[in-house]
Amino acid sequence: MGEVGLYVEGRSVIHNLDPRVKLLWFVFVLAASIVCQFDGSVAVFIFLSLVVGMALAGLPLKRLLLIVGYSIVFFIVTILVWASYYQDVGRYLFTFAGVRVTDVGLLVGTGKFFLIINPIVSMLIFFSTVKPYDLVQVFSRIGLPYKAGFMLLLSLRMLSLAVSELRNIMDVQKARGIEVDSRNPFKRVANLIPVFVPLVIRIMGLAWELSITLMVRGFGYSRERSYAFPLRWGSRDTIAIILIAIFYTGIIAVKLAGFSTYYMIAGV
Amino acid sequence: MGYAVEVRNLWFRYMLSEEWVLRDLSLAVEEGEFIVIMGPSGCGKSTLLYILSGIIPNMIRGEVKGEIKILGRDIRGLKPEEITRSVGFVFQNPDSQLIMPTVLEEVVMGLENLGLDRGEILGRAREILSYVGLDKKSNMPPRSLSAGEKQLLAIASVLAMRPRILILDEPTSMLDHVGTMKVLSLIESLKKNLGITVIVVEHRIEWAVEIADKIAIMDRGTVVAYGEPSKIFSNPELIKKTGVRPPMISEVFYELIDRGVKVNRIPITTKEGIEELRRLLGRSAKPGTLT
Repeated sequence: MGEVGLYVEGRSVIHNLDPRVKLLWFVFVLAASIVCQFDGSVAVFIFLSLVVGMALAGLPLKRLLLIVGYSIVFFIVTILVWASYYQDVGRYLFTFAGVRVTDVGLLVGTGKFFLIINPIVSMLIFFSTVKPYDLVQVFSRIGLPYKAGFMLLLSLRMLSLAVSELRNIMDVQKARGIEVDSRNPFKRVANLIPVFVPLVIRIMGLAWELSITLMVRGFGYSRERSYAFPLRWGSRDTIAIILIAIFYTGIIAVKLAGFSTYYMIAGV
Repeated sequence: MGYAVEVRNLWFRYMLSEEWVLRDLSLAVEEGEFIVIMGPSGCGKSTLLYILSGIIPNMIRGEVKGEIKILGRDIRGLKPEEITRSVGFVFQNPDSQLIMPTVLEEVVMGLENLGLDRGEILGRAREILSYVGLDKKSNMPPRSLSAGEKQLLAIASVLAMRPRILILDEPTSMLDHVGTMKVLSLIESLKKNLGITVIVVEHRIEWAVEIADKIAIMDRGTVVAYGEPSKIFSNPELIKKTGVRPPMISEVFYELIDRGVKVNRIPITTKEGIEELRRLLGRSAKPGTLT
């Protein structure tokens, strides 16, 4: 599976959708997450829809696990903060780390957690399934300068160049006797200076060469540019956006109508 | 046929620098000619190429004096996009010239910037990829190519824009032997098949004398010798003074001349050397003993 930046090569149903569908998907996820930010029991459905999206896209499970893994600390902190804020409101559930957790505190805490994590997962799906080439067009089609989309592409390119230069410089400095892998953390940080100084200088040189390359390839000379592989909106995209709209507006509507999964199950 | 490049009394110094990098440099390149520029490091070769491709003064600032004409027009009256359409530029480092995620996208990028229609973009891209032998790798990421192939791709990306002048700044200096051979044979084929004007800085002298219509030797910011390779290397004094390494076969004949051997001409290629040696050995060399 080829990867460029976050993009993962694939032929899944999600990959084949027009990038604008995925961008609108993100907007719906964001809107629904904002509406459900005080009720994690509803916001969790948004998260589950994104997990289904990731599965349909055939994205490596590793990516989802990474997000979940890294967000556990964030999840615990969010719950503690909001549970302590709402510890005198609602029904007492349990005490955690000295904080009296109530149902209201837990719902708000999880809602706030999903408010952050859902758009992140949605963006992950976007960048993992939209070709870097198409990113430029997405920006153009939504009325932004194509140069803005290109900046994203260039930053991905610079990142890979920087990583390769970093490896080279580390190898050279190791050969000169600098212990970049020292066990002593202080020594290690100090020894990284001879790595990062040449790295920064080299990156500046590469950025300069890239900008000259863009110039000699005529980049930015006209406001409009043509595309060899233009985005095409098909019936599949229309169906997808209708389904997405129904699902997320449904969630928004039921939430605004006062529905809560937790209260329904708990019978409160 | 007119001049592709005309430079007269060119002086240049970089911004905030007191020192002139180019000093009273003159050079005229006819359309369709193949020019190899040589000279020691720091003699101003790259600076000259930057000026001819419009990088100076559009991206690099400095003081320019003198006359510079590209295809008969003063370069200072041309917009950067007009220069881009006429002059293609390829650098030493293939990695920093490749931006897009796939080989095909790399080639189409410049054509998209020119605003061509889709059919023409794809037609030109496939044609040039086939020409450089990368058509079967069009969907691969450039990072998966060898260094030589990356440089071929960089050249292809520029050639797809159909410049009338192609400038290459030491295109093989970062390549291994195999990559170098691939790139040099592509550059040779440009002369034979496409007939575009090629100006290349290259230090492989044996290759240069075989392929170049003219060689320009630069030293301390100016062109000290310019002409057909056979004329340039027939002057051992000048060659020794500039520090440019002559073809090995010419060096042998410089030595013979120093030792008092009278030669008709100083050969620049192995083939010419064999002929001249045969003539010198004359009576003693039987046919077939020196081939």
